[in-house]
Amino acid sequence: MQRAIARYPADRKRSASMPLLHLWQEHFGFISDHGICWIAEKLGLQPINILELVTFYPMYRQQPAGKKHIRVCRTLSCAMAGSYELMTNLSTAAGVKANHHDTGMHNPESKDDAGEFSLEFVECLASCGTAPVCLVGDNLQELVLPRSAGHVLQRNQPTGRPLAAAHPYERRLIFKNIGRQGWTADIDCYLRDGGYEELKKAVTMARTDIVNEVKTSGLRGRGGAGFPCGLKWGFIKPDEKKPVYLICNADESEPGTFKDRYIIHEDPHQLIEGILISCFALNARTAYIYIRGEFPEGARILERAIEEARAQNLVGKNMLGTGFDCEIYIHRGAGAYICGEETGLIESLEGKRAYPRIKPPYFPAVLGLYMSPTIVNNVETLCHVKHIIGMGGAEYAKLGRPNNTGTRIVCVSGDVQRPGYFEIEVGAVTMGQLIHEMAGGLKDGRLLKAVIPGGSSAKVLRASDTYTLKETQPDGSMADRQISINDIPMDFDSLAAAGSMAGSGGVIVLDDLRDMVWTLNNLNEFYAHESCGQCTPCREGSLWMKKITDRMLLGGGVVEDPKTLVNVADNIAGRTICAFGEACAWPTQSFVAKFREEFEARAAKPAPPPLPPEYTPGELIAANGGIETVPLARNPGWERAGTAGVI
Amino acid sequence: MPEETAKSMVNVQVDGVWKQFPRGTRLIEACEQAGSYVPRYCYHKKLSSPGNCRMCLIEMGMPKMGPDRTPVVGDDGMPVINWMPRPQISCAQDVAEGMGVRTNSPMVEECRRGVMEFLLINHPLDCPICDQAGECRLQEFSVEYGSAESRFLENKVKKPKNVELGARVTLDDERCILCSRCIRFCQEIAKDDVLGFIDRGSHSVLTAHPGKRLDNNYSLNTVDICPVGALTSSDFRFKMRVWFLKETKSFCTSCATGCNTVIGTREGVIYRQTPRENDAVNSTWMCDYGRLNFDYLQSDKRLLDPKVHDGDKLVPTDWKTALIDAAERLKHFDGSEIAIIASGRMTNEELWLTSRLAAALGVQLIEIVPHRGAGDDILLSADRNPNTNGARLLRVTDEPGAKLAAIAEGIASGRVKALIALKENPLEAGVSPEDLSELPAFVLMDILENPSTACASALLPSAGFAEKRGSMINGKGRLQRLNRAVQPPGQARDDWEILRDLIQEYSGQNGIYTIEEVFAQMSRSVPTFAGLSLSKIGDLGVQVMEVAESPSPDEPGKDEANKPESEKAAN
Repeated sequence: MQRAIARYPADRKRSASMPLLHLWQEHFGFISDHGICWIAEKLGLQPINILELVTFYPMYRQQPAGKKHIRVCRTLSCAMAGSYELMTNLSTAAGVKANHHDTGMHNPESKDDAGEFSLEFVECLASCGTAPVCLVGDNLQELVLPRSAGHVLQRNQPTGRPLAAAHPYERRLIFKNIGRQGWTADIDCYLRDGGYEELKKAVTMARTDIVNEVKTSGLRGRGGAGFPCGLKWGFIKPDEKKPVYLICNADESEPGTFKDRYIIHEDPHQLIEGILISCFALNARTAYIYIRGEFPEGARILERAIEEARAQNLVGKNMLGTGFDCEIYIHRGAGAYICGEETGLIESLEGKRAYPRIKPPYFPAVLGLYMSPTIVNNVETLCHVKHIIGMGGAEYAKLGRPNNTGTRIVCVSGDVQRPGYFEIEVGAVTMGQLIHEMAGGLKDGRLLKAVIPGGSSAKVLRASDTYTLKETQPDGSMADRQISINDIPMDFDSLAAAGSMAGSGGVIVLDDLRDMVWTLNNLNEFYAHESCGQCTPCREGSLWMKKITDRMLLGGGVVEDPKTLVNVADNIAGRTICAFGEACAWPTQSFVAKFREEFEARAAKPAPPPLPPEYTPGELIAANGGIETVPLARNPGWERAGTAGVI
Repeated sequence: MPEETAKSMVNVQVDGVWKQFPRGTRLIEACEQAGSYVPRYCYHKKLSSPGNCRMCLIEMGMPKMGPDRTPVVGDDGMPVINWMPRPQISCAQDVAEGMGVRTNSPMVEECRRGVMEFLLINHPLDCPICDQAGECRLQEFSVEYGSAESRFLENKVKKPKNVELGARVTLDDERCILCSRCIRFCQEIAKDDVLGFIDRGSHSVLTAHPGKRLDNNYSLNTVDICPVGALTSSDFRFKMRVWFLKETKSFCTSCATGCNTVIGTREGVIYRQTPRENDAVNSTWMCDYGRLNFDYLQSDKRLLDPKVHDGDKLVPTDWKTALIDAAERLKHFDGSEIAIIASGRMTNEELWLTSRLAAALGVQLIEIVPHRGAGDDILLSADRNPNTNGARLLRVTDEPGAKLAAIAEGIASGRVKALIALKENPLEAGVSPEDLSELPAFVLMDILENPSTACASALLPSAGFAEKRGSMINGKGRLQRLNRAVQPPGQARDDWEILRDLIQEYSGQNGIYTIEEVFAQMSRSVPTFAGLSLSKIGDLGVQVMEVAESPSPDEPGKDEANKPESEKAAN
């Protein structure tokens, strides 16, 4: 416990809240009120500070779970592969009375009477390529057939499938070692393969030279936004007086994305080396790896890797005799998608609810972690740094296309024969090659209906649409080219031109059996569940959209619904603190726009009768506007009433 | 080029008109100063800006830069503005040179309509029975940005209602719009981090940990700043529709700080007291202790009739009889046989008349009773007398309480044969019950019945702080003004009138008819008040003394004394 506290600056003990909660829950099984008060006292906080966390992060529980706790992924790729059926079967096999109707904030937990098993739906576990998946305790169970629910309950080991070797279209840089014969995750294997040579090279270079190499390489962030990495690094002043922090964003949780999981599990030292080079370049003496809570095994592997590297004097004081001290710490999340947003991540790392910060003024490079300059990079991005140092920035930039350099890992899930990860030169493969060749095509007899090309937030692309790309002609001029979905190159700019984005590289394929209202509803549920609730439009709008699609699925759609859905989404996008606003609005906007007929078919009921006519305030205020002065219908003739007072 | 401005000012275009604002002005404040009020929920000028309600979205632009990195100048000689495609919040940024703002464009209005709809979909629409009705920001902005018809066909999110957040604050979570003002107030002002949000998304709920509730002495300020009906005062809620309340500007007399207040009354009954902004005194806050300290004015212990001792008991009489009786009793004694126990709770006017009375009687033994309690670093002063500085200035005391022992001893030894007690209980000032009951003359002016009232030979019921006019000087030397919010009950009278009449009965002098005249007389003989009048004190008071709050000379107050000019300008 003291060790967990010592990972953060002495005056920032609040950061240890989440680690202490994890320790408490591992030891006692759940977090009691006593635990909340105890941790608050230990860290000099108020009990409410801890209660806020326990209720924000779904992995913390305030009631004991069963002896075996099973988390079933309910997000899109797993749901398409049958995770709802799996949940039903698991409930039956475990004797648990299912209570999975989302009535509150979290997907509720259900437990059997004897307390042996407890079941819970969770959002994306980042293993969409082997859907459906569930976590039994800390052990990931992949490719779980719904009918095998009885076996799953008995398993105490992780199960998966062998790692795939490279497809001929691939160009493996980051994933070079994944699936290699005899490859292990320990440092000896890594060093035998020439590991840490790039770090040794980097420490001989001037810091600005490293930054310049990264700028030259044209590397764009692989987390989702595609922001140029060198530009980001350039925001850190070389003569910065405050401590600089590097944070590795390992909160991989964008539905459809499952690349960082494999880097962490199979090749952790590649990531450590990338972090160390980056730390050296940025003069950051402390790096935190924020790893999502659903990767307990990944966290253990990284802890081990850091200790192995420390034994080799790669981490810690006087790294490689350079006089540069560099510490890397692991910080585990606890089930909040919003921690993937960099300022939300920083807040979470500071021991708070992961409420993204307003920008301006809180740009991480200026006022980041502990109000110090901070760089937040994705796992894959940091791995690329190692290769940029190895190859040189200019050489790296030759990979891929201009402005879309390097390789990137795309993850294919959904309705394909061979879902999985593929490392390609950016733009060197088209959507069609990816789906029909590399991923083995659609299931027998099925047709491609739609593709979500960059994680669930990316706008959906309809297979029957044609797309317009701007292309440079041999003579240098630009011309439009009409192409089909299959011809869209898998790079940042082409996918943006097609009206979507490359995002985090998670490609979800939907075939012609998919009901688009059901699909959108699944995503809406994800976003309603994951909205942090800080700012109004996303907090209220995400749940509203989910309630509308819920109702449409249950047969209660009214004619206004498609229009309302889009309008609600429009009122969210661009008006929120962070990009989650767009992330939750884009699916709705694009699904309804591209598959309007399906939404209209489910929205056939007449709208309920309007309330009794009322006037808008504007109509009432406006002079002569809208509301007429109505004279009495007729003169009642009081003058004839006389003294009797009766007409 | 725009005309050269002082470094401290920047040019900002608000709704098409260029204006100048001091550097460091919040954009939302600048818009308001320019006459374009931007609606807001989470923003409060005395708290940090979280930017979470999104109501203050505006269209913003920065100067368009030419290739040489200098602003492009348009035909009007002012910078051409490069408008951002997305709306921006105006609460979290300061004005900058060449900035442009549109507060009423179609995009901005659309944003506000959207946010209003989002805020209302899960908010109960039971305004007629909501205690916040009439002072609710949701209602207020609904007039401009609300929709008459709802297109929300779903069930609303259910949340806890009637939550006892603390001893004095009740929470209705369904009305809460999660603006976090109350949380920030507790963290930043009250320094008592007890509130927080639990759960997530649309199910987020404001709460306190059951083991540590919202019980600090500033808890009711959260009710003031709550823009909706979520937080209500357990004392005030459902007692009165706020639009019926008559509002009287006053200040709190529960300690030497003198927080500026508004007293809400209807038909002679006080319903609540709320803080009023005065940056020289209390910012926009006040403590719960002071805020709720008005019930005694409406207690059944109020003294309603003047009474005189007749035989062995006090009998009600009329004012003329009572005052003649009191004066007659005092006339039997020499000034050296009379003592006066006055009060630091009296106004300057009353204290001045008290010193005149003492002079007329030839009394030397005069003192006020110190009242002290625990103070804090926020607003509450350890000196619970609101006008110790006035009593010092008007020579009613040199050191509060110093002469009380001498008075008690004089009464015990029989040297002092008559006692005039003004708004104080002599039994709490060291006089024993036996001595008090055997005193030949005991004239008592007070508002509440207490163990000493039975001993009075003449009992003169007077007015409480909300029932009269007058001035006091707070602990930092600021002269402030009380205004009458309600009439004193029964036959109770303004203290200054009672004192004037006593002086008249004793000395035969005449000639003061209004409290303005009292102040005028006082200002002629007290240089500190020279040139002032009650009306010139104004709503925000006037700095008149350079004092550190007594008795410790280290406490703040000098800052205030250093800027009397600006304060006078503000008035």
